[in-house]
Amino acid sequence: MPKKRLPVGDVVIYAVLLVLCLLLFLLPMLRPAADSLTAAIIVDGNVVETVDLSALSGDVIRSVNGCEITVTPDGVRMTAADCPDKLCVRTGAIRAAGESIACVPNRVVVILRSAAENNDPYDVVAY
Amino acid sequence: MTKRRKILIAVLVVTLVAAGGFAALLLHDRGAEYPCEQKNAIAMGTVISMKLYHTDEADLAPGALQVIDALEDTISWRRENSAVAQLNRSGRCENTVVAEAIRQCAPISDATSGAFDLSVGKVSTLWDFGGENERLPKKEEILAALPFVDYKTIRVADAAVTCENGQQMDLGAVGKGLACDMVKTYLQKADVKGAVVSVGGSICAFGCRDKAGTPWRVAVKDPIRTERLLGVIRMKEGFVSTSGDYEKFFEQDGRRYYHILDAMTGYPAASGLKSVTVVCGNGMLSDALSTACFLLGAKNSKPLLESYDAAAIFVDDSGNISTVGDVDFEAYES
Repeated sequence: MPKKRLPVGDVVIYAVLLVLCLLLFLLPMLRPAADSLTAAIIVDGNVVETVDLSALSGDVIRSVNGCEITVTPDGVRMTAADCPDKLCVRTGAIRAAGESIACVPNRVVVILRSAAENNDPYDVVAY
Repeated sequence: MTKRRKILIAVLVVTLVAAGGFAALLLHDRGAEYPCEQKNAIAMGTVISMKLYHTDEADLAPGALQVIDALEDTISWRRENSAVAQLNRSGRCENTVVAEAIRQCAPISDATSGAFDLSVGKVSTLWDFGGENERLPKKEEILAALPFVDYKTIRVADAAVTCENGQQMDLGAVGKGLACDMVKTYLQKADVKGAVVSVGGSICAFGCRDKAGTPWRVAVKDPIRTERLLGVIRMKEGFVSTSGDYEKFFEQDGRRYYHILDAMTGYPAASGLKSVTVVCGNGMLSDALSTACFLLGAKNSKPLLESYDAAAIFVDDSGNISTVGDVDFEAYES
C-alpha cells in the first residue's frame, strides 16, 4: 500500500506550530535570573566595587575604609569595622535585592542589587 | 477544507494567541519604564536609597540629599546649631518644621496616653541606642529623667516653640518620615515622573515608573528572621514606616533592650510586638504612627489608625501577622 503523503499546507502548519512551541519554551530563558545578585560597595556615595555573587565559588573579603566586608554566594555581611558602635557588624547578613548594610561613621554602604532589576519582586525594602 | 486541516488551523490560532500574549507579558514586565536615576548614600546617619524616574538630563539625587542634610541641620539634637539643640539648651526656638512636627504629634501622644512623646530626650540620651554610650541605665537615673518628659506643657505658637519644664526634644521618631515628606516635595517641584525613596527604611513612593502606572511594591522585612522578607505591599503612592525591635538594640542578661521607648515608663515598649509597618498619606505621620502603634499594641491601635486613614501590618512575638485598614499586603510563604 503506498504511503499517504501529508498535504503541503499541513506540513507548513506543523512547522509553524513547532516553531511557536519552541518559542514558548525558550522565551522565559531570555529573562535574566531574578535572584542573580550583585553587591555594590559604596564609599561616600560612589561605587568603588561591585561583586557578582553568582560568579563566586567561595567567600570574598574586602577591606574598605575601616570595614571588612565578606561576600558569599548567598549574601553579604560586615564582619569587622573600626567604628565605635559596630552597628554595621550587628546588622548581620543581607540576602535580598534592595537590602543594605551601612557603616555610617566610615561612610560605607553595601547594597545588594538584582541583575534583573525589572524582574525584582519589589522596588524597595521597608525596615 | 478537510476536518484535520480545520483542527490544525484552530490549534495554530490558539498557539499564536498564547505566544503573542506571553511575549506581550514579558515585554510589559520589562516595562516601558522611564529612565531611572539610582543613588545610594549616607545622610541623617542612615542609608538613603533613591530610584528617581525622570527624563531630565541633570541628576536630581544630589539636590534631594541636600534637602535631607538641611533637615538634619534643623532637627538633630546632636547638631549644636540645630533648632532642636537650641530648644533643648534654651527652652525656646523658632522654626516652622519643628513647631509643625510637635503640633501634629500632640494628638498621637494623647492617643497613647503619653507613651509616645517627642520630649523623651532626657530618657533616650541615657540609653543612647546606637551611640557610643549605649547601656542599660540605672533605675534611679530613669526615675530622675521621667519628670522632664512632658509634651503637654510644650507651647507652640506659629513657628515659636517653648519648653518651660526642661524637656529635651528628640525628633528621632519622626525624622526619617519628615525627610520623606521633604524629598517628595522637592522631587515633585523638579517634575519627576515617579520616585521611590528610602530614608533608612522609611519609604516614600509616588508617581509612576512606567506608562502603565504599575503599582509600587514595597517589601517588608521579617522582624524575626531579619535576613528574610515578610511580604510585599502594593501601592499607587504613599509613605511606609516600620518600627521594630530589631533595628537598634542590645542584649544584656538574656534580655533584649530596643530603642522604642515608652515615655511613661522610660523602658522599651512591652506590647508583645516585633514590628509594626504603617502605610499613610504623610511621611511624618506614618513614622509617628508606627512608633505609637508599636507602643499601643495591635488591638489598641485600630482607632488611632482609622483617625488618620492609615493602615498597618503587625507582627507579634510569636510571628503572627495581622493587618488593620486598607492595605494590599501579600505575605510570602515561610
